[in-house]
Amino acid sequence: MKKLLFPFISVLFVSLVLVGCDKADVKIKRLYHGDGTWTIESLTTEYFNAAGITVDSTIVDDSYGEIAFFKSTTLDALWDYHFCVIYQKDVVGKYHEYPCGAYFDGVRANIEDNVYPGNCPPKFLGLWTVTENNRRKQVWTLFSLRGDYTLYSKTTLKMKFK
Amino acid sequence: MRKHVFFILLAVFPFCLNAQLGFMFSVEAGFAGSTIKSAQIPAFLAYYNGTNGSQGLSQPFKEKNGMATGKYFGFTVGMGGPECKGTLIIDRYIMNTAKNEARFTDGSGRNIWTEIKETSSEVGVNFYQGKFVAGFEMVIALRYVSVYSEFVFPDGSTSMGNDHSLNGVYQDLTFGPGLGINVGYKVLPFLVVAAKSDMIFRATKQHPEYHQFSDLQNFKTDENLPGGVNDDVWGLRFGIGLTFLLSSKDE
Repeated sequence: MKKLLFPFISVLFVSLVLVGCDKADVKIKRLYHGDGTWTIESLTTEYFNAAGITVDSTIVDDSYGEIAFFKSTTLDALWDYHFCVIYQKDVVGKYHEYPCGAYFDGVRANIEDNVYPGNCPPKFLGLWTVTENNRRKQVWTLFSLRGDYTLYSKTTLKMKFK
Repeated sequence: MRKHVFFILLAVFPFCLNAQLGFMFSVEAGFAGSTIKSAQIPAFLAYYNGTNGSQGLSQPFKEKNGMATGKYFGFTVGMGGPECKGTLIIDRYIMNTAKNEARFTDGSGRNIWTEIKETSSEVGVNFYQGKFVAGFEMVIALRYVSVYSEFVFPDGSTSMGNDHSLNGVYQDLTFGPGLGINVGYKVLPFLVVAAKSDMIFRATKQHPEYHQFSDLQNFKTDENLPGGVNDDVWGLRFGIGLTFLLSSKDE
């Protein structure tokens, strides 16, 4: 019986390695490959009427320039920490940096205000739905509801890998 | 190290110990499918239909698991004689069911589908007779089963965000033992058309509470799929594809 232990453990090890390839920690690497910088092509918010079907108004915010994704690992950490820095342009053309927490599992992307609380732009905060997931292009959508659960707004973020 | 490698190869084909030593390495890929046996997924669908039945639900969910289809790929190492080889197979299966849709009268609704991503380690024996090959294997399947739940707005947009509480990707990692058979026909010296079928059994019945579908990524909280306690996903898995013999040496 002992003789079967080593091959059994070997097979189990290979299996675990292959299963591990599916973890969300691996999927987020899609965002920070290269230098991890993505150009924001557009950030559009559509506001819907009370029926949640017709668009009442559309606002395009072009003040944001780029998002840079990266990870940080400390020696005592059990897992990697993932972050992003959102670059916003002011009226004189100067860029300001806003660090945020980030998470991504291929179908959802979470931008969290957990680095310097209160600093991350509210427009980006939330659990986004990933509607297009490519190595060089990402399209995310974020929805908000009224109190009666009808659709209030839909924000679409389109990014292109720089 | 060489001793360990030799021992691995020796241990995986005890039925071929009396054969002359030959070596085989192949890669394979093809279409795959799997039946899904799970109590929790239909329970969730029934829970949703029951809860929303009086809320204008015009098209309820089909209260069944459905069948997952997809692909498989992997490799096989074999050793033994020209008529019988012990095999070690590592395959990767990626399969998902069709979207199960529920709709309300205003056009909104919910889509549910199940995805299986698993790594299958198989130890077995293959028998060769002319151009035919047949064999059986014992399976250890480490499978991620994910239940995707998305809300559909009246304009067709879909959301997995926090706007609706049932949105999410509910995952469970199970460890499924199994048994299977495979058959093949060598159409070219290096190419085999192969079919395989494995029964993946339920891993545990004793503590189903440890095998609930949980959305651990949303985010670092533990949201379980409503509808009851899971008792693992199991069922019959099958595949049909091509096997490429990259190296085959019989002495």
